[in-house]
Amino acid sequence: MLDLVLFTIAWIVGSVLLEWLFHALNQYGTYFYTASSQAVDGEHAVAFILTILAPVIAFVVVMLIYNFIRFRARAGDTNLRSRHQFRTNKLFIGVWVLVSIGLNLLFFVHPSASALEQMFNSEQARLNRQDLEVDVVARQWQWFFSYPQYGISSAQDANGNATLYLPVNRNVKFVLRSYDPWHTYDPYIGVIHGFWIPAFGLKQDIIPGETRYMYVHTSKVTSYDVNPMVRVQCTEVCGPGHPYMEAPVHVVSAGDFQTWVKKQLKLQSD
Amino acid sequence: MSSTFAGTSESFLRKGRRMLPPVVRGLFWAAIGFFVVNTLVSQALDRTPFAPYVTKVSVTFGWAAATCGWLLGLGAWELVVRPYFGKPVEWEVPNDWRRYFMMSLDHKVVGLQYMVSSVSGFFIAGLAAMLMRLELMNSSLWTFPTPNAYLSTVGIHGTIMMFSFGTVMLVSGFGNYLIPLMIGSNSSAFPRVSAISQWLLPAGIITVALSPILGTWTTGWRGYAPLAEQDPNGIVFYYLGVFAMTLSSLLVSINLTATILFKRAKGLTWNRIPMYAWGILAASLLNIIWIPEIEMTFILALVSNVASLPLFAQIGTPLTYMEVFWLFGHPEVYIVVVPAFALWQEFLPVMGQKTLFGRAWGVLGLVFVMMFSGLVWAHHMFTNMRDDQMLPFSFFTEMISIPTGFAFLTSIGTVWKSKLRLTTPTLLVFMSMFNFLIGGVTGVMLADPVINLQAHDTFFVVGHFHYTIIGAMVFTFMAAAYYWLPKFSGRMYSEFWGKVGAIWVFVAFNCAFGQFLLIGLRGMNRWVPVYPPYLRNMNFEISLFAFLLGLGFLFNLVHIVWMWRYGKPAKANPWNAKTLEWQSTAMPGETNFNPPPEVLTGFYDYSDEQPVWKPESPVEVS
Amino acid sequence: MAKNFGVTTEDMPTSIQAGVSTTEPWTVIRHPAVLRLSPRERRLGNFGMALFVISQAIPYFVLVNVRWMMAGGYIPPNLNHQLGGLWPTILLAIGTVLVSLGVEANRSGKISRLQWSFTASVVLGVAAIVLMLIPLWVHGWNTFGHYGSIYVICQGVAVFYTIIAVIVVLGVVFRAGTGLIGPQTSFGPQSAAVVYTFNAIAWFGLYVALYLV
Ligand code: HEM
Ligand SMILES: [Cu+2]
Ligand SMILES: [Cu+2]
Repeated sequence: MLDLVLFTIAWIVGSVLLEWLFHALNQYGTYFYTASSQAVDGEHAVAFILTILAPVIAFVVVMLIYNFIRFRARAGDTNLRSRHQFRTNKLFIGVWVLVSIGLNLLFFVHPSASALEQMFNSEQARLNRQDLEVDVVARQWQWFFSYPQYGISSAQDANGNATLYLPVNRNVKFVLRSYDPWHTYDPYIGVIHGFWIPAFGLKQDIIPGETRYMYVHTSKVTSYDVNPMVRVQCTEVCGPGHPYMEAPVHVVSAGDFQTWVKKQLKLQSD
Repeated sequence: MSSTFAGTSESFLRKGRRMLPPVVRGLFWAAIGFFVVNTLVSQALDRTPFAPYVTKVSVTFGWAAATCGWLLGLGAWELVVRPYFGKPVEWEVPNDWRRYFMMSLDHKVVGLQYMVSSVSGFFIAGLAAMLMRLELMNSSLWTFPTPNAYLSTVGIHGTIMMFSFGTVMLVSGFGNYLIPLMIGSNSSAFPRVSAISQWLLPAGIITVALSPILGTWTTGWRGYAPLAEQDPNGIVFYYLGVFAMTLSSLLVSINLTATILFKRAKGLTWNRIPMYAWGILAASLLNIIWIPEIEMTFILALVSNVASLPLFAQIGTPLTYMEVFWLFGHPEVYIVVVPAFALWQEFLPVMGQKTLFGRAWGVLGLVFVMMFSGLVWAHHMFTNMRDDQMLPFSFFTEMISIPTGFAFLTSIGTVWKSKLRLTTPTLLVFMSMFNFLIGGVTGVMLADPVINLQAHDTFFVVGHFHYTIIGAMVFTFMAAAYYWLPKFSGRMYSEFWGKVGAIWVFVAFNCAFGQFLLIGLRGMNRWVPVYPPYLRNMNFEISLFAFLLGLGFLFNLVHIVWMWRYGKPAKANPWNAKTLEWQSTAMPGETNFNPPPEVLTGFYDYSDEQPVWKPESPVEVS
Repeated sequence: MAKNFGVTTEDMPTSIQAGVSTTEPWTVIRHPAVLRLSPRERRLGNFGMALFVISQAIPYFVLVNVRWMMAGGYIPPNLNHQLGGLWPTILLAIGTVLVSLGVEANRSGKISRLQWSFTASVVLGVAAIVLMLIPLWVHGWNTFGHYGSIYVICQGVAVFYTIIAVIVVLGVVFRAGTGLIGPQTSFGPQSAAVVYTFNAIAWFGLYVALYLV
């Protein structure tokens, strides 16, 4: 009985501490920098899971420590065996099994299914008529971004490096393909790449021979210069150039975006 | 027929038949096999322009010939080929150190051979990890000459760790040594099978470790097509090496499954089967199903690579390799951890001298994990599948944490109110449970698609799987090494240095891999020797802890090897355990049980002092 | 040590079967290539064979699976599936009947009948291998098209497994020749027949899945 009470107290203290720790970590922004609504969804999902799991983690950790200290064999004890011998405890096992099933069902309903639901919705065609469309082509080992709605065939900065500009508070539809624009006839040259912008909270693999889509909703003005997580990064190993497959991203106001478009068009016609 | 045999028995007694030492003979035959076949293929059968001596095709056949030569030289000639032609089996194994350098039919010798091969694999791959961490101390290329060299090192690290250590140590190493002992048998079911399979393992390790000689490869441990199709010949050695290593595990699994089902001592009924045997049974069944699957996949990739078929290229089906790889890949991780779970349930009752809690739930957990493991593979592929396919895989992935939790349930229930001896194995099991808890929590997070799409292919995932593999498997392996050291060597380790080693590894591990998780959340992606400079400081620090971890493993190795030779002599049953392996004092080369034991009760009940076994009364004395 | 060697197989301890003699367990392994098995040992052997066969059936599932993934692939020109598919299937089917007849013959002690039918099935197996290899050799290599690499690979896998099956069956012929096989030692022919039959069935399944479905 005493053990149960002591343990319960320790467990509660441990849970509170952990809740506080997780909360603090979340406040601090430990989970990626977030600049899109999709990224915020992910942040909420992590916070939710950790909040629910804190007592569970605390239970196991406190249990391990408590057992280790409280039930250790003492020096000079001649009798090796424990006095308490039991094979089972229906209540404990029953609660354990039910709680673990319950928690998993909960996590499946929320955040897994609920967040996915939201994602599916955001991908429905009727909601995406106004989207800014960006054609993304990955070749070994380079990104190409083109904006068909604006006639920009390959967005570049002053140095000729690929760069991605997006207006804030817009739905963006990325059209993802993997091929080599200069060697389209070579079927062996296409490999799988991964299109990832850490600050946007999701990634999508790009499969040679297929077209894939990724949708985000930009939510703050930011750029690679503000936070290095605002970058395009290839995440699927694609050969020796894989680490170099990155490109800066700029999320700018609608006005700035128009200015940028004009500049690009001018650059292109020169 | 009997006369045939009586006739040949004369020749048995021919003494001093001269023969090269088997390892030398194996190397020699392997070299001959390679040169003959490679020359034949590259210079005659499949001559290409300029006739380079080594081509993708020739090296494949040359390797196969070399491996056959290696196995034949080590004893398969006497044990398999001569009997195949009807000649009697004649194989002499000197009863001294030399028995470790040839095929042996003693499961204890085979177990030790496996352990040594496997630990060598661990340290070779560990060295690769140290080199990787050295490179990552700087955000630009400085340790390796090219990104390719780094990527090959990642691949070698992952491949050798998984296929020569993770999958092998607890199943083929400890399993071969201990399973026959624990079920009261004098031998495994098919001793020749394990004798042969052991020697495939070093062949595989060497093949993968030396693969860069043929050219660096970039795919990582998955060897995944279509990228692999661009790689130079090194990738061929990846496929071949992994093929050898997995074949080794497959053969052992068939042998151990048959052993557990058929070689049990009298009275060792189904409900008395040791927990470790359950773990091995579950892992073996996974091996038997999934290893042939992945081997066929490797062959498909190898053939389409060597013959340059467009199977997985853009005009073929580029995602299929990944799919069939992960179809195996996920069960693979349970092959790694299930025996570890079983070992928790093996050690804790002994160390606490208390009856195992909820034994049926423990077994159920192992079996359900095994069955679920085939249903979750696509969670490795959320970033390249259709949306509606995500939910079922997410569901099963989350559900698999339930049977996994049973391992915690039984362990915690067992130590509650026990009299826990705080020995090094106990400490390591507790550390292992803590680490796996973190692995499990990060796993539940990754099962959630929204989080997965963000964290996939970052160091968060790398941290997660090292927490599960090192956390659960390596720590438990260390516990097992200390626990059974007195059994293997007859000597005891030093409790003080054992604990120092455990705490050292635990602290270094958590400091290094805890930060893997965090740096992943800051945008560090995988397979990169070069990364944006803002990640440098954290990487630098992680590397320091990684080196500390590497030294910690080395320290434990030195401690164990030292005590193996110079430790204090141990009692026959130092932990006062009830399981059968402690009831035999047989060393390699000796009979385990003579006469065979008869089991009287289960092994995990510490409530009474009744003997668990008695010698089986001899049926008739001849 | 030596006292084990004068004995006849009849009174040899059964534990010896796996290469373990009771007195000097591992140092000196000497016994005839084929042993009499106790019923339990025979069941153990059968179980091991079953595990082996189950595990070897899985590669075929992978092949069929990949075949479905390759929807839209075409059979390469000159990969003649009459020659490389139908005829080997027939030959292997006859071989299967022969090996099972051989096993029966052995059970009733007719060793020469066993030898005859096993040899015949080896010959049929070799013929099947040759027939499978011909289209593999002459088919049109096209590494840039949809001309089903998977068919080529399946054909190659079938050749490989048939070679294994033939080698296994041939071993029984050799050992029967040295007088080691008889009604008492029927495990060898039996398990060889299982391997041969398995290969025939698996190839038949693959053939149907590849060319007929
Ligand atoms: C000695 C401590 C270890 C350290 C410091 C270490 C470190 C690393 C690092 C830095 C990576 C590369 C991650 C990337 O860029 O993708 C990696 C990958 C990997 N490690 Fe370890 N590791 C250790 C032990 C282990 C062990 C014991 C295992 C398994 C038994 C293991 C299995 C793997 C696997 C499978 C990969 C993936 C390789 C790939 O991406 O192809 N590691 N490890
Ligand atoms: Cu890429
Ligand atoms: Cu890449």
